[in-house]
Amino acid sequence: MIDFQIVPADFYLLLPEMVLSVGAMLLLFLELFLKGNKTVQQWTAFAIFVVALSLLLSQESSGATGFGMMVRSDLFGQFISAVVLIGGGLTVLLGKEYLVSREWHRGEYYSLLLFASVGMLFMVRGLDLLVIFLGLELLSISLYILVGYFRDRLFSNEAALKYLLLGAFASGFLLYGIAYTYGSYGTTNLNEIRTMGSPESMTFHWIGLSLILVGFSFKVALVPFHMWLPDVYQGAPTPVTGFMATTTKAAAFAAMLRILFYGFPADIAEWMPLFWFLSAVTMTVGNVIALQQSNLKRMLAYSAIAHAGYLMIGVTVGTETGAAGMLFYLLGYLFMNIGAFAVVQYFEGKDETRLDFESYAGLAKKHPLISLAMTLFMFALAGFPLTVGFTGKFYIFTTAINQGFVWLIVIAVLNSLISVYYYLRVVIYMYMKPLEEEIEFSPMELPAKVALTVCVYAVLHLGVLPGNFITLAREAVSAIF
Amino acid sequence: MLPIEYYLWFAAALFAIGVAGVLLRRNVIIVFMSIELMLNAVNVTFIAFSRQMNNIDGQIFVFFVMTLAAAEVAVGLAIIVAMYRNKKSINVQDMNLLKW
Amino acid sequence: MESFVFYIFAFMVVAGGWVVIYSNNLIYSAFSLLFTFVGLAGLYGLLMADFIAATQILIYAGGVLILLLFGIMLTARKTSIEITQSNLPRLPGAIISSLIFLLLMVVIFSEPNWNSATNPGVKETVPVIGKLLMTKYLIPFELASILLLAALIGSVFIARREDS
Repeated sequence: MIDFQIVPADFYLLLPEMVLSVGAMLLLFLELFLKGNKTVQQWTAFAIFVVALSLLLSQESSGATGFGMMVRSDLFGQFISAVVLIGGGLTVLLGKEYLVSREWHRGEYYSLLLFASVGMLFMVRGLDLLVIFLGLELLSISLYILVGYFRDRLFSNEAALKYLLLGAFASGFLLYGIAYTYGSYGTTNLNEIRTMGSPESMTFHWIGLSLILVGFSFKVALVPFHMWLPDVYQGAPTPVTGFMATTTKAAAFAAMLRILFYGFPADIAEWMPLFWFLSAVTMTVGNVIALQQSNLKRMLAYSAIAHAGYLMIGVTVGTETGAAGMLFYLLGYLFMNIGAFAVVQYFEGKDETRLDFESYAGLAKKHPLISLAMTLFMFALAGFPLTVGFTGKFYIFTTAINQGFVWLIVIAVLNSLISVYYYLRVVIYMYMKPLEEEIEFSPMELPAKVALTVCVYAVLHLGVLPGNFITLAREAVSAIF
Repeated sequence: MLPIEYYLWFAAALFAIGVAGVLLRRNVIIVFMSIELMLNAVNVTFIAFSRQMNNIDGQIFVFFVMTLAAAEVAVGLAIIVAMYRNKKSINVQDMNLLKW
Repeated sequence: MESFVFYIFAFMVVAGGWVVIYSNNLIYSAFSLLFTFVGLAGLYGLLMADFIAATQILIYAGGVLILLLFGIMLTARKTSIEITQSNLPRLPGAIISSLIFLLLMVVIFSEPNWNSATNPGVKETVPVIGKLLMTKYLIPFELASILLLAALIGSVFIARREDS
């Protein structure tokens, strides 16, 4: 009854995931033997990310499936996996200083980052709802722990607990949705669902898909399922926040795209009004609340919600170009947001007291380069020309207008204008206000400098010369249509 | 065999009880139990469909849902224990540092 | 006969679930959760899922519940610092959950004739599940082991006392 064969090519397909998971365990062993200087761990973790990325990029993206159609190697999965691995690598480079200054530099940090990345890779390359779901849970569980990483701080504990409770709640909805999908199709494999076309039971299919969407809306924090996000982002260690905000968003959106566009292509047009509504509400609520924030980390959290709204435009449009715009924007968002959080983490000080706008007053004089970088990231997040924020938004918005979503884009543009206010506030504080108190920041270490430079370069490069990457994103999405 | 609707209704009731528990109760451990109820409702749905379609894949899924439930509870209780430890030394009054 | 057994188990589960969310005493909640889990195992048996029924008892009653009891004992001592969360007000929460219930009822009612073919069911599930886990579901199986490993490392890391 089971005709099934595992061939070596299947394992070749999963090499990046295998390297990451073996690496995660290796780092735990290293933790046993290393005392004192733990720079080795940082470099090992970074090397693992680099190796996994190069293995991933060396694979053929022919759309081959492995292990009985459980995973699929296509350009779409490769694109987002690359985003995830680059994000992981940058987070490794940025994390050490932050953790060392708080005396919390442990191997578990890197190990859990690697586990979370394994989960994300399975999530974006999985072709079966079971694999996508397990990847999502591996990612979530690793992140619950990373959010609560400072186990001796109540603040961190509460954020982790809240994330866990709402994450598990969302998983319940997602699973219930998968159960009904299974009931209407008799399988959880997206490939089989796609070839089957029409379900046995339309209502079961309908309720299943809507519950799955509720689950994913929680994970990508679309309004009204966004309540967990600000507190979790604020309570988590800042490098982890940067990692969560960018890679998790990329992976969750990618899984959502694959489920919707690959598994249920017939439903996109029908569900368009709902996506339209979610998109408009999410960006508006995110931006309006972000306006009132005085804490920079919290402001960036609400800006993350607003960006989820912009990204939903791509789903609303429902065409290949729309999805390509999302992919490109997710790539750009990775660099601008990780960069912004890197600067926040540098300035926030040991006890996280310097997170409000006032503490940024006059920093430009003493730290011209870092302030300049922050200015660039803020401009990019607000969508100024010559940055990737502009090209990404421009691409998504024009696609939507070509498809006739004029009102949605009017709302989106108005939102972008609102957002300029709070992003530029940071810049104004840095450049226009007088320095309030003299604080010595220890100079940035080399790895963090490298990461920040990479972010700055990528934001500019993708902003000025986006051509190749947009073509790549378009080729990537054609794999799931 | 009973019609499958019986099991689906039953699972829906259990799921709704779980959702009500998460939304209404304030004690974190009760919220955990409510989430377990939701996951169990999912399991019943899977197994009922699996029985109806004579297709064992649904049972495999349940197996993995159980794995997840155990993992989530373990991590959750670890966080609760850490939290309790920190709270003992901290004033009980300023408990909700983060607005829920 | 079958429907009688179904009603007994279903009542056990639903009543148990109700007590879980209604009781003010954590220990009562935990014990009624035990009833819920055992009743569910009975229902799985009724659905010819014997392996799952056994796993249900082992994992939920034997593992999850014990963990929860440990959690209660470790945290709810005489100082009774309750770890709580401020939640939705009563009314919206109740409305949301009853809406979900009603919606599902309507959905299930609207499909009365869905796949009503009777079939004998798989008699021995253990060998089939075993084979499937080692072939078709090999990747999810391995992934689940990584998930458990991450959860293990994480919970030890979080719950560990500070070694100074």
